[in-house]
Amino acid sequence: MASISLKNINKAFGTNRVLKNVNLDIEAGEFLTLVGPSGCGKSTLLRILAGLEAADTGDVVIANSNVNQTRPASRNLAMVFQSYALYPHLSVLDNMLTPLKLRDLSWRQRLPILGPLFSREPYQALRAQVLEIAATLKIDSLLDRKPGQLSGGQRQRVALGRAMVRKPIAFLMDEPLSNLDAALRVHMRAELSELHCSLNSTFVYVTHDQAEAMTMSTRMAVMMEGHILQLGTPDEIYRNPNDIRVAEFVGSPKMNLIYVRTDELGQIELAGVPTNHAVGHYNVSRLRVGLRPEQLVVTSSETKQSFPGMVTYRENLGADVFLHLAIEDGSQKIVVRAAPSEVSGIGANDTVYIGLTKTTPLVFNESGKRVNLLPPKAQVAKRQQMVS
Amino acid sequence: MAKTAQNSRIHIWFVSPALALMLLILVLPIVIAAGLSFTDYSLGGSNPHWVGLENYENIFTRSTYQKMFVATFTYVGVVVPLSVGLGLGAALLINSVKRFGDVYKTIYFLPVMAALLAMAIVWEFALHPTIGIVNKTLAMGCGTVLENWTWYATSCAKTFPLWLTDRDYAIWTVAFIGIWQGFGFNMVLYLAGLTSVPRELYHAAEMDGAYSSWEKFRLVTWPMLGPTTVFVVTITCIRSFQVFDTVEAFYPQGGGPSKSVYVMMFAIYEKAIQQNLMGVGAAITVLFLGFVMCLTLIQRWLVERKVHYA
Repeated sequence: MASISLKNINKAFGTNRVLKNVNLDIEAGEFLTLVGPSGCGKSTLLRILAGLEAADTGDVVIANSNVNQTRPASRNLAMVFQSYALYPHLSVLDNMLTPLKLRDLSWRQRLPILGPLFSREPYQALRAQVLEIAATLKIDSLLDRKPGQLSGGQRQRVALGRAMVRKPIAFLMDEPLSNLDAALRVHMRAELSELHCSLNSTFVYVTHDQAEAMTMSTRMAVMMEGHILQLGTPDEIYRNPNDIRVAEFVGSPKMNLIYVRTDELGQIELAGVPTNHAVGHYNVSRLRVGLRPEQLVVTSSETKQSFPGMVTYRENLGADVFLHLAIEDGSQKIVVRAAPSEVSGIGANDTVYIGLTKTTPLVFNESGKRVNLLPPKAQVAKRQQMVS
Repeated sequence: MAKTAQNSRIHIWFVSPALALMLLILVLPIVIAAGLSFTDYSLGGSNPHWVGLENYENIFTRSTYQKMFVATFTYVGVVVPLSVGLGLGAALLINSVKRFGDVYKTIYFLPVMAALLAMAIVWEFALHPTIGIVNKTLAMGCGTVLENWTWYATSCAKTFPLWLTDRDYAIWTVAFIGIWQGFGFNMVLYLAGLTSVPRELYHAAEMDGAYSSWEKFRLVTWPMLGPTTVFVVTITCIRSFQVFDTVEAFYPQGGGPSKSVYVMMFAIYEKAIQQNLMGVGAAITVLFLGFVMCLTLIQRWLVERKVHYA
């Protein structure tokens, strides 16, 4: 068990700066996910950590020692690749033996036919290690097959097995589930989480799928355009995003971002309806309020706190219904999540009224940064000040 | 409906033109050649006689034909491994350089593009025993440390090899020119093969601890080039069996010094065309086809068994 730190990492490919001064501390034993849209630099960061790519500036520190000059295998990390990268000419057994052979045997012992002949004991020891891992991954019946004869899920397991045999201090995974079909992907999520618990080892996991990041990680780092925008537990990232890009990226369907106006006291008016929330600076133009689909409710009749919207599309997912609505005469679009019983009679082109649940909305300014809401006390004080 | 479709013979009309052309153009000439190889037919001559296996018997007993086999297999045995190896080496080197790759590619491919008949004149000139640049350069080394090499010392004392007209050197010299001419082609094939090796496999090898280039080559490059290698070896074998233009250019009067460069293609040409002994020529042709057929079958077998891993 060892902690890993990436310090001030910069990387450019030609004139394209992929990573811009990235700092990241990975604690021992955690499942850390790097998540972001494609091209955000997350894979490059992982490859710099692995040693497959050299950073232009910055340090990679593993267990308090700088490994900038250390070759990948000597960093004692293992990697699972998106395409699994199994050696197609070797059987599953040989694929899993390869990292052990290269680490533990001398070049003489690795000679094609003579090696196994003259050093039977070390070979048997390595074989036993592989068999043990294969048993835990339930691939012991596949050991004689070639990767070409395996299904996607089985290849995935073999790739995991090849990573596990060396008992590395951390597993690096570069979108390992993206080549699997949807059902298997969901299944493997649970299995990877279980594996993480039982191995008690550090996982660094790269994905573009926010659902994978949300479901598996202890902490996740949302990356965009070469920066880590936010690092935190999935819950924190979901409930308390500090940047509009993070808010938009995490959660499905996307968070509703509605342009709002404030009155002279800084009170937010959502689609013309005043809310109980206020910001410190009023008259701010292009202020946006972020509301998750589940933070909005459909009300049957107009109330003081609700605003009208026209249904453009009704998306039925069985357990949930997502209503796509046009508000403020169609100038803005939002999505509301509702239970099927609440919206049973509602279809396209119907007008419904939407209210807020008790949760606090998130407010973002023009540049996409979070704006703090005034606490209720401050609001009252301000109002009194205005009156007197 | 199904019954009429099955009973009708209309499909024969669809297949027959292609089948007829195939038989007429591809199969019939070989059958005729095979038939002629059992006769003493000569072009324009009347009444070819059936001689049975006499032509084949001659081929396997007479010393001329023994020389033919020795020359052919020496040529193939030298040219195939060396031009495949050099082609692979050049491809790996070019693949590893970041700049000037295209320049190297063009230069190595030049001999392939150049007509060998024209290049033969250049080689003949360069390898001339007395005025050729090769022996003149070698002579400049006399009296230096190179004389520690016994071969060099004796050559300095007597003469340097006559190369193309030397009985001991002729076939090796011709083979050298064959390699010079052929490895650029193999290099291009290997370069194409190298582009299809997935980058991730090299990264996986690096993560697994394959540090030296040799280990990566053994673990990734060589196995992944398997299909390319089978193809390259087969095509080089066939091309080497078919060598003719160099021999014809250097030795129009028959097979080099002591018939040491009397390769199969040249033998066919000499017997069938120059001496109008169609029967013998046809017999050598059939043997030649036999060798090539064997190579092709071995290739198919290897491709299906070994090098396609899916």
